Amino acid sequence: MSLVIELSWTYFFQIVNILILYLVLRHYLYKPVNDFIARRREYTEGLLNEAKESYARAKELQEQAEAQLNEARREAQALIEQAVDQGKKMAAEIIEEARSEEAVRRERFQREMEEAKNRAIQELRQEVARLSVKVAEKILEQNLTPQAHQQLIENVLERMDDLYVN
Amino acid sequence: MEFGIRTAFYIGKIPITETVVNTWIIMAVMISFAIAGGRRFRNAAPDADLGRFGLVTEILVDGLDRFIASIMGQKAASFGPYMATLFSFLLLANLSGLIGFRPPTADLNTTLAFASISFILIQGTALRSKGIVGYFKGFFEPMAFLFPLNVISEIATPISLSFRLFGSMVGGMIIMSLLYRVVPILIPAPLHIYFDIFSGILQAFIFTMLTMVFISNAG
Repeated sequence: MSLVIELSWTYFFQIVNILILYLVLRHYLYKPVNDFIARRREYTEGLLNEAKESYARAKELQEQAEAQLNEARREAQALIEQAVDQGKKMAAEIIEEARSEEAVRRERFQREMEEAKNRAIQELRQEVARLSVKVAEKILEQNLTPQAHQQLIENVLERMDDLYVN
Repeated sequence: MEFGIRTAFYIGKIPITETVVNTWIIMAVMISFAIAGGRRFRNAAPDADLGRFGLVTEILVDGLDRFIASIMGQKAASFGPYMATLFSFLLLANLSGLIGFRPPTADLNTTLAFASISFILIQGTALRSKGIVGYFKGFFEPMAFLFPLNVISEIATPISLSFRLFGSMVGGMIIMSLLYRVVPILIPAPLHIYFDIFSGILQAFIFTMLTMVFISNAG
């Protein structure tokens, strides 16, 4: 039998016990767990930094891409405008060319018409002259002097000119 | 009635009390848990899946670490493992009454042993941070004639620490034993909640907390 309060060997046993427990727990539990937590913290911080860097890089790339896209849009717009201008210019040239061709053709046509008219007049004149002579021969049924004959033709021709040409 | 501590057996002439035997049982449980729980953390990859048991172990260790760091600050790095050991042992020892053990903390030898270690840690920290001259000068402050009071105040720390825990545990144990003799069924159950669970957790907390606070103040 022993008292409730009695100092004994137990005191020393308990000091040794708690120290042993401390050393064992520190070695087998606290150290590995805390090392692991530190390792994992380092690892997650590394991941976080990596993610931040990736994000920054992605953002930079996105900005670059946007800038390039804008540049491309501007270039495309410029090309379109250039093409439109060129098209307008070409259209104007074509119209101009067509007009000048038309003018040339019209001129030629007029010239041909003029020539044809002149030729026709010429032919008509000869025909009239021939006819006149025949008519005159028939009407007069007499010999004219060459002078009188000539005079007569001239008169007729003049009248014809007045009638057709002018 | 018998509330004394039984001697379990003798090694030579040295008596091994049931306090020591119960302590060894609790130690065996804690060491088994520590080895089983800590093993999977050793050399584990930082992104390894440690399983449920590993998670529980990590929560317990990390929770204790954070709690100790919140009180001790930078000193937690060196004192943390001891404080965690002390707290978890006191907790299991105080709660061991629930499974019919005589709590090792219901023995002044246990509580005085732990309080002695706390006392050495407190004085050691003070000595290291103030230097030998500063440490002894501290006993004569604020006035020289207060030296005896200062010495008593320092010695009172382990005594109050040990008797508080011991008194609380042995008191609860005696009340519960008496109660079991009068009304052995139903009535003791809710009282176990107070004397073993509430008081046990509270006393383990107070003992550890005061040790940490004294060490912090000493440095």
